[in-house]
Amino acid sequence: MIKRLAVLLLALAFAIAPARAQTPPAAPSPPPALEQYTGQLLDFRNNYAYFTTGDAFAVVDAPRVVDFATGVPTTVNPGPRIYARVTFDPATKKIIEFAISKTRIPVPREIRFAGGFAVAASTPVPASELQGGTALSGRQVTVEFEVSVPPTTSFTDSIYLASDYSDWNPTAIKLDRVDAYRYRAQRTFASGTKFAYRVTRGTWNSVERGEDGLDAPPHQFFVREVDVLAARVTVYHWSDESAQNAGANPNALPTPYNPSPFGGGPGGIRVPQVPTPAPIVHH
Amino acid sequence: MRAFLGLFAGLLVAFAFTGIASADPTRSIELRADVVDYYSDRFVVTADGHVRAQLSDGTVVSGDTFSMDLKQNRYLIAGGVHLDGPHVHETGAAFAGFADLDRNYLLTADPVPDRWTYFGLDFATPHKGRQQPGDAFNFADVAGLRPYVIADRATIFLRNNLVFPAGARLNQYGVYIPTPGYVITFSANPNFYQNGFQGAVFDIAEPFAASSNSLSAAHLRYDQTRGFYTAFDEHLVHNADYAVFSIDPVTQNDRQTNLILYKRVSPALEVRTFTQLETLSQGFAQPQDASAFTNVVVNARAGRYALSLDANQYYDYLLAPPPGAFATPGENGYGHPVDVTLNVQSFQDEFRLFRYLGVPLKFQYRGGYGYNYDGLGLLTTEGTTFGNVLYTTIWKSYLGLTAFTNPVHLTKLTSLSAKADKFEEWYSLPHHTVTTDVSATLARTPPSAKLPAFLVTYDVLNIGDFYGAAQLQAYVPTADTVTNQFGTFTGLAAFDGFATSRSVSGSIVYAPVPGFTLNLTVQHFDVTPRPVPGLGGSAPWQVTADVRVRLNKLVQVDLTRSYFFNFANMTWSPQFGIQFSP
Repeated sequence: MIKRLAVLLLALAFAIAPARAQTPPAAPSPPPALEQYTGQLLDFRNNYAYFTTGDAFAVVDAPRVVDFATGVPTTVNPGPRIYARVTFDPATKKIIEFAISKTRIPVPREIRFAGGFAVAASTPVPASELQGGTALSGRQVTVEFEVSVPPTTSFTDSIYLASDYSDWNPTAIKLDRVDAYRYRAQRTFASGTKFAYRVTRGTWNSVERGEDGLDAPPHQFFVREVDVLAARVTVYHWSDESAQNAGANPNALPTPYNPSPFGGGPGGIRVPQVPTPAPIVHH
Repeated sequence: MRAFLGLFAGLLVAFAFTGIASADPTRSIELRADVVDYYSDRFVVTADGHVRAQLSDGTVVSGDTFSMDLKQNRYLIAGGVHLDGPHVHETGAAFAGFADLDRNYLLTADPVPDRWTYFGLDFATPHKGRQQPGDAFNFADVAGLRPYVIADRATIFLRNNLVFPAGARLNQYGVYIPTPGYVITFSANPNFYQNGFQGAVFDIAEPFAASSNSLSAAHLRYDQTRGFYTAFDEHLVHNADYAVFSIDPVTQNDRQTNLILYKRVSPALEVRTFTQLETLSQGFAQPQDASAFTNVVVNARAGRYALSLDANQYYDYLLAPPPGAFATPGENGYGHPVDVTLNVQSFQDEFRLFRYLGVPLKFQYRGGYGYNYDGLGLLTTEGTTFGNVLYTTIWKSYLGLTAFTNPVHLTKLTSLSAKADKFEEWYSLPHHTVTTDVSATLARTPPSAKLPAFLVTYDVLNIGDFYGAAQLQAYVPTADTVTNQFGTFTGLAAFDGFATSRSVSGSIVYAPVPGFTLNLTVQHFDVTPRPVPGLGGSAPWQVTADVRVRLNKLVQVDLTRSYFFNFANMTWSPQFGIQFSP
C-alpha cells in the first residue's frame, strides 16, 4: 500500500514536472518608455540644452545627433534657432538624442513628456508684475473701427485712420460713411497687437483734436484674445477748423463768381493753410 | 572739518552707489554682428554671428544671435551669452530684455542652469528664480520673410528709431541699394511725422540720421509746378512737444524755409507757431525777392470752453522797396499786415427736454473778436479802398450756433438726423455776413458691414454779405451775359453778394467680402446764381466711385474716379486716384 502510494506520488510528480516546464517564465518588467520633447533651442553648452521656453535639460556626454527628416547622423550642431526633438533617458532624466531641423518641427500629440526634467538651481519665486495676464495666441481678431465726426464735417470729406503700424501714413485706412456722422471700417489684427492711431481727413494738417480744441494724444488699442472687437472714437474738432468757420465754410459754396466775401474781402481774414501755406506771391 | 569731510565722503559714496543701481531700462542698443537684418513687415530686427549689443549704461551683451520685436519693445540674445558691465560678468545661454516691464532676464549656464531677473539696468542685484514670462526667450518669427535692410551694425533707440550706418543696403524688389545711412522710425509718437512741406504729388523720403529725439530726412519730391526737386526736414520730438525745420525745395531758386514749433505747456494749454520765409535767390546769394509769414496759435481749455488766440503776421516784402513804392495810397504790396482773433467755442451740450421726447438735440456755440491791420490799407471788394476810404484797421466780431440731432431711429436699421448752423459776422467797415446751413440725413445702416449701407442728405446753404445801401457799391453788377466755348450764359448780373446752394447727396457702401469695398457717391447741386462752365463753379451733377481691393495682407489698392456729366466738357475726372496702403 505504501509502495503503491509512493509510485502514485512519483508518477504524479513526473506528470506535473513537464507541465511546469512548459509554463512560460514570468515576463521581465519592461524598460521605462523614452520621453521626448520638441522645441526650439537657445543654446547647448556645459552638457545642458536650453529651449526657448527657458527650460534647461541635462545632456549625456556624447548625445546622438541626427537629422530630423532623415534620421541619419548629422554634423550640424544643436544651437541657437535650431529646432529639435530630444529624447530623454527617463532613468537619468538626461537627453540622449537630438533630432534637429532648421525648420519648425511639428509636435505630435502622442509624444510623451512627463516634465519635471528641467534643471534650475533656484526655487521659483512668483513675480507680481506677471500675475493676471491672459495667454495670447496671435489669432486673427476682427476689429471694427467706428468714428463719429463733428456735425460740420463736409459730406464729401474722406476720413482715414493713421497708425503707428502704417508709419503714421495719414491715409492708411479709409473709412466709409454710414450715416450722418459715423464712419466705419474693418481690419483684422493678431491678438496681442498693441497699436496707436489717430483720425485724419487725409493729411497731418487735418487731424482730429480734442473737445477742448487741444492736440489729442493718439488712441491706444490692444487686441485681446476674442473674436471681434470694436474701437469707437468721437472726433470733436479738426486741426484745420477754426472756431470762426466751424460751421458752414463760405468758400465751399460752389459759385464761380462769388468773390469769396468772407476771405480776403472787406475786413475778411486771410486764412493761411497752416502749416503749409500756398506759396506767397512774388512781386 | 572732519565732520565736513565725513559728510563729503558719505555723499560721494551715496552718489557712487546711485550710479550703480540704475533701475531704468536701456534707452538704446548699439548692435554689431556679422549680419544685421531688418524685416519691415514685422518690425523685427535680427542679427547673427558675433553679436555684440551695448546698452545705454555701457553694459555689453554678446552672443551668437539677436532678435528684437521693435513694436513689442523686447529683445533676445542667445547662444554663448556673455553679460559684461561695470558691475556684472556672467555667462549664460540667453538674455532677454523687456523694456516695457523694466526687466531683463538671464538664463545662466555656469555651473548649473538658473533663471535670473534683473530690474532695469541694475545688474548688481540678480533676483534668482524669479518667475519669467512664458515667452521671454522666444525668437521673433521671420520665417519666409525677406529683410528690407541689411547691414552689419545698427543703433536702436527704443520706442522710436532704428538707425543704420552708411553702407546699409535696402532690398527693393530683390535689388540691394546701398545707402548713405538709413533710419526706420517705428515710434508710436506721431509727432515724428509732423509735416513741414507743401503738398506734392509724389514724395520719397530718405531718413539718414536720427536719435531717440530727432530725425533728419532728405526728400525727392514732384509736383506739377516745380517738377522734381529735393527737400530737407529735421524733426525734434520730446513727448508731446516737437519742432520741425524744413527747406523746400533745396535745389531750386524759389525756396521756402519753414519752422514749426509746438509746446504743450500744460494739459490745458498749448502753443503752436508756424513761420515761413520764402526767398527767390540762387544758392545763398542776395535774394531777388523775399517774403515771410508767421502764425501763432494759443489753445486753452477753460471749463467747458475751448479758447483759441490765433495771430497772423505777414511780411509781404522783406527787401528794400523800389523807389515810389508807397506813392499811391493803399498800395499794400509791400505791407506787413497783421490779424489777431480770439475765439471761444463751447463744448457740445444737450437740450435735455428733447431727450425725453426721444430726439436728442445737441448744440454748440461760438463767438469771437478779431483785429485786422495793414498800415498801407486792407483789401476790400473795391480794391485798396472802399468808398474812397482807406481802411488800415478793421475790427470784427462773430457769433455762431450749431444744433444737431443724434441719428433718430425710424426703424431698426433706418435713422434720420438733422443739423443747422448759423454764423454771423460784423465788421467795423460797415457790413456783416450771414451764413446758414441746414441739412437732414436719412441713413440705412445694417449691423453687418457685409450688407450695403445707404445714405442720402439734403442740404441748403445760404450766404449773404450785407452792405445795406452800399450793396451795389461792394458788388458792382457785372455783364449779364457771358459767351464762351461752352455756350452763352445769362443772369450773371443778378449776383450781388447773396447765394444759395441746395444739394442732394447720396452714397452707398458695399463690402460683401473682406478685402473689397465699393463706395458710390452721387451729388446734385442747384446753385443760385448758376455755375457757368469755363468761368467756374462745381458741376451740377457728380458721381464718384471708390473701389478698394486688398491684393494681399500688406497691399490694398484704392481706385477713385469721378464723372461730371459734360459740365464744361468734363466727363470722367482726368485720372484715376490710385493709392496703395497697408
